[in-house]
Amino acid sequence: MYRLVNDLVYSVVTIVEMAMNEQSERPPPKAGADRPVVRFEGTVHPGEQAQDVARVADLDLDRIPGPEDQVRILVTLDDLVRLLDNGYEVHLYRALPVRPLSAEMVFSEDDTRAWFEDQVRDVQRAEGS
Amino acid sequence: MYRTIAQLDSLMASLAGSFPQLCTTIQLPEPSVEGRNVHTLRMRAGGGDDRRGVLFVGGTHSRELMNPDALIELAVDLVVSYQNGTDIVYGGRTWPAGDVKIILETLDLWLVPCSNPDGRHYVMTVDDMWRKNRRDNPRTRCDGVDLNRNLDILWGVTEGQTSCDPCSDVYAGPSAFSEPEDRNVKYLLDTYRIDCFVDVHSYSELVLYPWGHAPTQTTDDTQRFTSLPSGTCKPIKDDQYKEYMHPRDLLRFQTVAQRIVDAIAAVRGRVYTPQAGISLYPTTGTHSDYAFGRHIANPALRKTYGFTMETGPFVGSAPESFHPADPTPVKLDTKSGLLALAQQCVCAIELIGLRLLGRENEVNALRRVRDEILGTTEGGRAWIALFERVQTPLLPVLLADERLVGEAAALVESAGRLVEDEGATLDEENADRALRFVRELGERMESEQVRADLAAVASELEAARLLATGDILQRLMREGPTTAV
Repeated sequence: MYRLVNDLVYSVVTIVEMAMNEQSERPPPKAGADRPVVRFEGTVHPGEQAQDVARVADLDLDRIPGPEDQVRILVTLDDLVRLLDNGYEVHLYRALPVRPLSAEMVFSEDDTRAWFEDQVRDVQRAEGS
Repeated sequence: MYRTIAQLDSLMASLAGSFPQLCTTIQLPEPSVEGRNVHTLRMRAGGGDDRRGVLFVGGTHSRELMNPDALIELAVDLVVSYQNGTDIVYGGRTWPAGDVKIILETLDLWLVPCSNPDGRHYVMTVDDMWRKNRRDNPRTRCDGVDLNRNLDILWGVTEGQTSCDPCSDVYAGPSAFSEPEDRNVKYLLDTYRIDCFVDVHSYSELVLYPWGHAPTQTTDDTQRFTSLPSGTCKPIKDDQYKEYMHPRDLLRFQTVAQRIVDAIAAVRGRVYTPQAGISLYPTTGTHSDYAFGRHIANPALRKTYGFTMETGPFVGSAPESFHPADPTPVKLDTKSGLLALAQQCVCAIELIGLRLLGRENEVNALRRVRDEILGTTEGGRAWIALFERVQTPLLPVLLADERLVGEAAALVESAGRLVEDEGATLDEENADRALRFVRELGERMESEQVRADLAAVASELEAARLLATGDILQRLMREGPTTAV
């Protein structure tokens, strides 16, 4: 089972890695034992050998909120293998390369200062501040 | 857009430097795992000791980026409103300057915008889906402890989404409070008076209250978490186990949670769901359960009502739900909800009796009646709920009129004396005085609900005339208020 999943996912990981190297100036975190290179967002469903999806909690996965009737997860390749080995069916929606928050989503120092000055522009401040 | 840890710290410092009469930054005793200092911002206007306190914590889970920004922006909004006497407007919800004034002059607000600075830095520089802190777990290939599983309430009981595996994203850590980031939160609860607490998370539009580890029941007070073993790395053995909560506390949690939900809905119509923590999924060792549970584990500690907010909706993908490209609307919702919690933490009786009168004995007597007598029956709890419902709209009206404040103070004093003596009776003079006061307040209120509530109080006062304290309390416990709107 492991080899099958690994083969299936290998191409996704490779594509994601390439995309990461193109998109981010920062080198991706090192792969291998320390950190995953990619995570997968998916939902867990009853499989032939595992009907009770509530028991997925026993696998200590990163369960994230989703629509009420879903068991939604954010998992590594190893986690995926464990889910399948335990008899669950998993639907994957996206591969999420491990990378920093886009720099475009972070305020600059100047933005932060300007925002504060704008907010308190008309407010009397302590002397010398 | 999101702020870095350095920017959040710098904004706290700017607030304290520019508005020292309202804001103070305090460095918490323990640096983070990677050595970053963690700060809290205390907000208060005016003096006075032993104020009720509200603690807002954000950034516990690294990837939930919106909430530290929302907390710091809330602090700025409060300063601007207080200093300029202007209302705070969040979409369709206006928070009048008078309400902000009461909050800041009555309470101590403690804000820890980001309790897990290493995690936030890691999200911004390495891994945008990182959840835990940055603990190096020895002898494993995995880093991090889930800071919302590491507290000393059923720590290490692996019920639902809690794990003893260091590689899990819900790893509870090697021991309860092993993590300095959580010890900082404990320090605040231990050191300062904190009556209300909220740990602000994302996402799923929920307002959660205890318990997280088991369903709640209100009938068997022998079923307490204190009798369960901790650190077992196993789920709770008895799958029929239900955790006790006093009905008065459950009512309080439900009432306050609903107020938070209402305040959020008024902003732009988002409907958050109030529910027990376990409804999301079972957990142990969480902030809000610890904050509330600690007075049960140790009755010498103050009771703190602990909540968890899960801000923002699921929008189809995890990244966009954890850190949307434009978090502004969610932050407005969050800030309105947090103000509602602060407002619900104000206690009119304490304000008038302790802060204005210094009558500790009378206030303690009234507190005992509330918690130990009225809180034990459905009728009594309905009266408590009525009082908690009307005090918020009444306080600004009351405090704006010195004569009314004087009347309220005299009545708190009389009521305190009355309940201390079971044989005492409500004499004609005090009954008339209380009735005049209640009717005058009713005439000044626009809300039909508040007027109806005050009419119910007036009707009960008429009925209680010349009755002994014991008989009055029996009446209140037997039947709740009859209000018709």
